[in-house]
Amino acid sequence: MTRKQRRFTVIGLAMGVLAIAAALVFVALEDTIVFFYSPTDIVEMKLDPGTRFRLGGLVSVGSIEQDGQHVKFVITDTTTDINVTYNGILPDLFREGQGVIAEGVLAVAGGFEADTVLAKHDENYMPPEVAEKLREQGHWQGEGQAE
Amino acid sequence: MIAEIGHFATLLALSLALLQGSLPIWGAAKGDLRIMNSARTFAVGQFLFVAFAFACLIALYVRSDFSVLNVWENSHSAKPLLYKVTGAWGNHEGSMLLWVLILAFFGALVALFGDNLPPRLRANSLAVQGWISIAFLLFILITSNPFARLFPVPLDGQDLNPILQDISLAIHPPLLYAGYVGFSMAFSFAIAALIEGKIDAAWARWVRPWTLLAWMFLTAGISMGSWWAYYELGWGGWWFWDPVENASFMPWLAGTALLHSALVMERRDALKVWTILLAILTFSLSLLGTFLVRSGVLTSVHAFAVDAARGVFILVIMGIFVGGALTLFAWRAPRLRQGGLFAPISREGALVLNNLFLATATAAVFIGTLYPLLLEALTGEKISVGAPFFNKTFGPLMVPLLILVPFGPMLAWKRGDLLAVAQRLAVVAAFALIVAGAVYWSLNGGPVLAALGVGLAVWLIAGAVFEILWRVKFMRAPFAEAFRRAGGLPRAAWGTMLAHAGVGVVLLGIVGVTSWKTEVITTVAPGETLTVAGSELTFEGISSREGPNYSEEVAQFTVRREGEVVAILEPAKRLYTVRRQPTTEAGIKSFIGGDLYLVLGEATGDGSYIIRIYDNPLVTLIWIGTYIMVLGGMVSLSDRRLRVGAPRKRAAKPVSAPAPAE
Amino acid sequence: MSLWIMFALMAASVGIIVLVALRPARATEQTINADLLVYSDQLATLEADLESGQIETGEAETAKIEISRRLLAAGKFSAGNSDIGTGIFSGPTFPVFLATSAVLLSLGVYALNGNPDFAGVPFAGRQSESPQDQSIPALLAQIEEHLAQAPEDGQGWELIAPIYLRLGRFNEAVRAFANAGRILGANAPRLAGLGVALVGVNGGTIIQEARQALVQAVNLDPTLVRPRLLLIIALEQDGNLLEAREAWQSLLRESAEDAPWREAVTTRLAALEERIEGAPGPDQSQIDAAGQMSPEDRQAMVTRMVGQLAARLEADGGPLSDWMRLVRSYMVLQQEDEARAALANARAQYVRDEVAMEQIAATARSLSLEE
Repeated sequence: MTRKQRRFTVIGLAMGVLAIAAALVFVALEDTIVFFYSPTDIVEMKLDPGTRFRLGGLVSVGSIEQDGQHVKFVITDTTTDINVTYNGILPDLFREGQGVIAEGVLAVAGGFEADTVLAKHDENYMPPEVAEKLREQGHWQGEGQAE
Repeated sequence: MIAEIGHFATLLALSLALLQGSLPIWGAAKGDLRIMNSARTFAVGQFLFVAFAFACLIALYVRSDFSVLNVWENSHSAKPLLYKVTGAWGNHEGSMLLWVLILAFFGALVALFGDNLPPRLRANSLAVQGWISIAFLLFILITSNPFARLFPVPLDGQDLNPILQDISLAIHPPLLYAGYVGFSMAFSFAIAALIEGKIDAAWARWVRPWTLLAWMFLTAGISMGSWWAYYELGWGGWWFWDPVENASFMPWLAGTALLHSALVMERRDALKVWTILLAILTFSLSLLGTFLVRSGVLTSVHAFAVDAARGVFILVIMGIFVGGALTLFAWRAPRLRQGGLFAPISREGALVLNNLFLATATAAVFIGTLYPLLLEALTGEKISVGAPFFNKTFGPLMVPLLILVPFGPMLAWKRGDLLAVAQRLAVVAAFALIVAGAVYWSLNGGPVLAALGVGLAVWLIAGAVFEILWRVKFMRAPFAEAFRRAGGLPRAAWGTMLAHAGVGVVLLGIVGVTSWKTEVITTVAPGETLTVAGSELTFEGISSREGPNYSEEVAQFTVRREGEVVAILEPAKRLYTVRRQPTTEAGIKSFIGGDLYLVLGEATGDGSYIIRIYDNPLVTLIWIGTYIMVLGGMVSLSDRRLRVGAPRKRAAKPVSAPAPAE
Repeated sequence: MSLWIMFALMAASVGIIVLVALRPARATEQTINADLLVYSDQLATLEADLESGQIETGEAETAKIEISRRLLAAGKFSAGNSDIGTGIFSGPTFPVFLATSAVLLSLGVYALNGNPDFAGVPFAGRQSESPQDQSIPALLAQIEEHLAQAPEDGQGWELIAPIYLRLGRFNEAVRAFANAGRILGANAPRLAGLGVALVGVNGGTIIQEARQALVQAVNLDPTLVRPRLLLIIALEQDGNLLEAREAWQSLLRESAEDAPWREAVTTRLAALEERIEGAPGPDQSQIDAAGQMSPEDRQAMVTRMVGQLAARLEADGGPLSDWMRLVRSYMVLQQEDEARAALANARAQYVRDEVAMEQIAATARSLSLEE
């Protein structure tokens, strides 16, 4: 092979791999990203049942009903409430009145079926998305935020 | 008083860093050896003062001096001594001081052992190290001073976040930082080469051991972090594609590529410009990692400092260093002497391919990590990119790379014979396929991908071992001959073998745990027995215990296999009294085939408890594999050809002759 | 004073470092050509590899030629290092100037930010402070430390439990009373303490578990007043207002004339009587009616009832539970400002009552109304 051919082989190969990678990234982004909504967003956007997303807000006080590993509770952003069902072990810091993120799908019968529940990680930490949403609605001052 | 001494020591270190960052460059420009060499003393001096400051911080923690804000926020008088010490870097301020300490330590090493470095390269790279020190010391002093005082003095501290009170997490940040910061050496050398406009084989030879060292620390650090997440978070997983994990994984990928491209540069005098760029990118990704963790811009379970001012400051540091380095690169790189081209089918060709895949994979992880940020900044829409994205992009990019790994070391430099290599490796391929088939058959079908995954892992391990066997002419020459040859093999060859085989072992673990994991969530009453994946678990009951700074509810499970008691597992729920924070302690027993992993959930009110049981086959191999990789790095590093500043045996001979009197 | 001596030593070390760094270069120090070393080393390795049969002869020859070529090129290049010499600012003035500026810079910044007069306060030094200086938290820390080592010491738990209760650390108090009871056996004070602490944990609401403990405590020792008070408040909470009135009255009858709780009970009783006569809660018919109302009407009814409650409380004050009911109602009506105002009024009324203040704070927390 001449120098030129060699160079083309190398560059061609690199371009090929990059093109494949780019295709993979775009397809995967299309398929796998999960949006984050607050209960109010859901009402406003009229999402279809079966849509997968993350739901963030506060666990409504007095709303937790536990029956073995089946849990029902209400996530609220203080304007809108949404019923959530979940099957499994709740995180350590899952408590009434605390920030929470649930990932799952909107059920056909209304309400939200969560398959993952994340609570804030320590006393000073609230999922930024939740804090943000609540701040937007003027319900949240302070804690995890910068002074 | 100790706090004030520490504060002053930090300031003096900053003064020395300022000298280290300015004088040597000026000396190099003027060609003054004395001024160039001052960098060495400054680097050592700066290290001594940063180390002194850090020692002060540890002393403050040990003495529980709550007149220091940082100690009050992160410690408690009742905390075990070990965690008092490690608490010094288990928080934002202390960890940044540790960052600078490691940076200064690496600088001091270059200064002390850099005798055979070209003086200009040494002076310039130490100066660049000085700049990085200046930036981070300023960051510490302006936004996060660990020696800030608190008045009135509180009676007791607020304790360290309990999930951070853990021995592996105490070692994890220093390892990770040693990795990040180690790449700063490659960066400094790259910038020095660009400043001087000259790059040569000595450059690559010097960059390689530092990169290898940094890579080893980073590998061990990532592995430790993953292990911690596995047993402490109680989620049963070992890797979550969490932004903070990605933040350490991206420099690892780029660093691995750098390791291989520097090899080409040293041996073949080629890929110079690319290697320089890679050195810059690797450290930039390390800075990005620091930024992501410190700024809290990403939703992450790890983000423990959410402070906009700090994030902005690090962003500025990053902008200056990355932007400056890339500008310098664009300006000076065309002036570097280009190396020769080479045949695609050759060792260096294979290494280019390796770089191509690793760089692309890095880019994929980069996009997945930062795309949500970008989207939110542009449209305000919040999304999360989770594990499925990375599985769909990173996985397919890794598979061809891993298939190609055994070919690389078998190919000759300059011009390789692919056909001959393929013929030799046919044995290995056949072996791997047989194992895959056997796995498929013995599990009555099961996922085909899993069997193929096992086959790929075997291909990697066997390929690595085969390469050594081939080189020593095992079975092709008398045994004694092969043995002699094995003794004569350079340690770097053994290192390569271990590192590549380690990748195979990790893969085996990953395939095992992803394909054959069993997860059961159920409710158990005391006295009840469950059977999971061949183990019988009997729930004996719950008891309360008091730890030094927590109280816990412990469940006892007796595990039997074939009637024999093999383990008592005690998953627990702890409540750390000072922070009033509950944590879950998983009960884990490692068997040869895999881990039994128990998490205690809520009580159901009638004496029963919800529990989550995992059977994680082969999971331990993931961490064993990474340590094999680190071991490979160590063996390689002990090779005389790579060892920095090691005395040369040949040079010793003439000296041994009596010097003529003058 | 020793701090300044230390600073002087540190500054002096920096000075020495700068002077050493810029010491006159030794004449013997030579510049080396690193490339030459690398290439000759590569050649040596090649020879060794060839000797041990790691590499084929032909391959070795090509490699050798290539390395030799680079070796020669590097030899030519070594001329590039010849411009290195010494001589800029070789006198002592320059290093001394740099050393002084380095130290002065550090001292200057320190003078702006440091606290040289603020001595260290190690924890160990504070334990030996004389006992009368020791505040409750220090004592507490001592007992906690002791209990961490000897968690089965019932006396320790007994000692610490009421302290927790007084400090309003109800969760710890519950644990301490429970542990004391478990280790030393249940008695009236321990049960009573447990009950009170449980009430505290739940922000003033008297849950079933607390009730059991309180009832047991009163059964064991009927002279204990606090559990009795709480049990009567529980009756009020349940809406058994008449029963509660009777209980208050009988408590008053049994109490001595100078009993310290007399005044509080009298106030409470008066408030209760007012509630029974003046502002009864919605009775069954009202509730039924509300069920049939349109949402607007229901809202109006709720607003009206809340208005009445607010007017009464603001005019005459009232029991804490009513205040908290008012705050919650405002939150339901999404009138956050009014809720805050009501909280402030409640605080003003109960400013001297520690337990009440804690309950108010707990309610505020549960409604995310903290300042």
